[in-house]
Amino acid sequence: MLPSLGIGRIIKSSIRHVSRKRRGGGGGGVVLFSRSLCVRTGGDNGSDAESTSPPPSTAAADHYDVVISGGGMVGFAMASALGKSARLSDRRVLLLEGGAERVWDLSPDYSNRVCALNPTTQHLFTSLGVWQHILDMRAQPVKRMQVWEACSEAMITFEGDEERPVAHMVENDVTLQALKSLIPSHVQVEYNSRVSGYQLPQDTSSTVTITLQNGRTISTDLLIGADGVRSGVRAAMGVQYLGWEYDQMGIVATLELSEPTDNTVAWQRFLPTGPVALLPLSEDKSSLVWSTTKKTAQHLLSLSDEDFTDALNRAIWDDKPRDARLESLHKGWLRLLETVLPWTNEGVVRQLPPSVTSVIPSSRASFPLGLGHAVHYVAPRVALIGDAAHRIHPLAGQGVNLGFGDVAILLETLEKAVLLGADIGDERMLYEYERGRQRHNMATMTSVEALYRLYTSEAPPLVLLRSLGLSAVNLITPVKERIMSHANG
Amino acid sequence: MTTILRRNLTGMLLGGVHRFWVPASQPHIYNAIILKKEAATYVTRVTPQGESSESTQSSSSSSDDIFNKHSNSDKTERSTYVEEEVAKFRYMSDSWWDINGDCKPLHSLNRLRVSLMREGLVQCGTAKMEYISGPQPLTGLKILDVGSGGGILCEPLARLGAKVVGLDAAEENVNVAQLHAEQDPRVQHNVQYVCGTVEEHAEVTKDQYDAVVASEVLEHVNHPDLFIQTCAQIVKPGGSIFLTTLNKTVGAWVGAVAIAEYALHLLPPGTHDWNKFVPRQELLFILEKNGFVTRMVHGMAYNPLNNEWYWIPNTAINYAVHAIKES
Repeated sequence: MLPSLGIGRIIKSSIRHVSRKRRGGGGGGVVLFSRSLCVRTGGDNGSDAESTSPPPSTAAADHYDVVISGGGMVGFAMASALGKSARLSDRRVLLLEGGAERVWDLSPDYSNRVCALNPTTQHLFTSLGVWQHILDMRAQPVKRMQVWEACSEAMITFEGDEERPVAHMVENDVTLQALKSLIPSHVQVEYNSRVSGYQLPQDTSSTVTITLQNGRTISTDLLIGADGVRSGVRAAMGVQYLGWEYDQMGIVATLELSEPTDNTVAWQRFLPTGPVALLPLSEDKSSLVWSTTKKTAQHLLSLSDEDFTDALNRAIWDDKPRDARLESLHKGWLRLLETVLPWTNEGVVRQLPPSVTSVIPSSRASFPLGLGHAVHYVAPRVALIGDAAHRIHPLAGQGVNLGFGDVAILLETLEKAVLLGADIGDERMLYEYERGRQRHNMATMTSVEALYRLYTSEAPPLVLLRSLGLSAVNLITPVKERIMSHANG
Repeated sequence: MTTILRRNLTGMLLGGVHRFWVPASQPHIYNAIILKKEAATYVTRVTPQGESSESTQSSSSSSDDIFNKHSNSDKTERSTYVEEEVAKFRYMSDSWWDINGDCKPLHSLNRLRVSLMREGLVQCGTAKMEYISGPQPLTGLKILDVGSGGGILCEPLARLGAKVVGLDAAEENVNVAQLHAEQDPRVQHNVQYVCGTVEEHAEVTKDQYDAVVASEVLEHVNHPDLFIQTCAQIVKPGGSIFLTTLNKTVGAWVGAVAIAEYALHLLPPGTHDWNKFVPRQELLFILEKNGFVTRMVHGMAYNPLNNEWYWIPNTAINYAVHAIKES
């Protein structure tokens, strides 16, 4: 049944740590067979090493064409993308995850970890064949976004429609499960594989060597770092990383609404302490993302569920004391806009957010907020994706979408490299990914950072400026469309 | 129909305007081929009788015909290479794979010439349908790279699945190319480097290749017509020839010689001899005369600031040609 010893060994080792087994007779298998024959060297056959086609320098190690470090949503999306690509179908792909494999079933309770997946991400997932699986499990479309603030009347709305929602709220576990369960069988996933060191080459004449804590070494033509904010791959690259921690914490929770409604609107209100967002999960449940100062966050986490709900409702409904002159200036500005742009006035209606009756017990959690950006995403035979490359404030719901955007563009770059007959670890090809992504990610991060700074201030001139600006943007459709199209990649 | 029309039109346009080479008017053995591509120089000329060729042969062997070594007896009569010409390139053999060295523009030219060849072979139906959307779209094709140098163009073609023969007159280049190919298993099994001249190769490989490429070679050839004629013998009927070279224009002298070699030192001074550049129309005529139908002619431009090549409509300096041998 097994065409060669090489494949037999791979299957054996797959059964040991891996959830999926390698196909015996496929095209990839045949390639594997011939390559393992030609380069197999003595070495440590007794260990769980399977040797296929390593370059002469690392003959004793396992060799993979691509190794992805980190089995989060972005890491698995990358693995899925590489596995599904026809141009990369002959590559051996390995995903290393430090944690244990988790058995997961869709429970009726919503998880408190939720992301808004934008249309670009939806497009990527559709092409990977996982989107329908996500919808089948659980996803709530967001057809409208309303953003307003505590210090003025100004607001902005973003409208989607039935066919093209602004985003979908999807629990992280659902996304991860969909990606994991549909990962192509020739992609190998190894859990409990903690990396103790990466040895990166100066140029493409040698390969990357990865040492695992269990002593095993792996070599690869391309290492993809999807290992999160404290990326070990980034550290090994020695790349400069610019960033800071905000004096803020994000509080997440699952909320029960007072009555079942259509609930397809995402609400976000800027408070001087940070934005609070209610994101729809179902008819009567929403997810909370509340960014606030560390001190307030500690206080909020210590409250009882009832008191927390009251505090949240106050944050959504109560206005800050307002400056009468600012109010009248803003009213005048709105009238002026309506006169100058009479045709844009339709459809911009202020809706009232739902009121929250309770917070689901023990669904409250918090996480630190920060900003960070790697000066380089790539080096010879290495590329960073997702949070390993950039970290962003959650106020625009862009974090993981940027990561999935990285996946899409890196895949495109690697496919292009294949078509040009280039080595997939060639830094000249990888720079193309870096150039394209940094341009987009930097623009997003700068805008989000500017919004954050603008809205954490209570100074009247700034309040006036942002109110006038927001109201104007809200009425000028082309500007709004530009914002939406950038946010959607 | 279109083909006939195009051939007639080309003939009419060219008639009387351009000087022709008439190889038949020269003693055959004088028909020299100088292939100084990238670094290799091939000169075919009269040699004293019985003197054996200096051309070395590839150490590799294969049962396949195209990989067969050239026999000495074939070469001695009319093939040797000019040591002085080759010598200035021998020193370069170290720098082929230094992507920031002298060969930097050749590395970045791959983006254009590999795309041209891949798309050309796919669109003219030479590439096999079952492979064109897979990881190795050129699987099953045999390609000859004349003047392969260090193998800068051979390697990507090999990764695309083609069986590539890299032909070069300088043993140093063949050795460098062979060593480098061994670093990548995807390349190693698909590429074979042969030391020799195109003329010698033509004697053992008639109508064998799906494609012949001579990239940045033609401008170093003494008699391009004989070169094309030799290539025509090697290509299968219906197969392709890909050429990239320099046009014989004032612009080409300014761009490729004055600026590239002397002002910016992108290439070692003396690399190019303007007198050997081939006017575009003349090349098209030679191709037609040797039974090729030109499918595409396109200009190329190099930006030394970002080391990138671009396709441009203007063929005044660098240009690329794809032609198909009539069946």
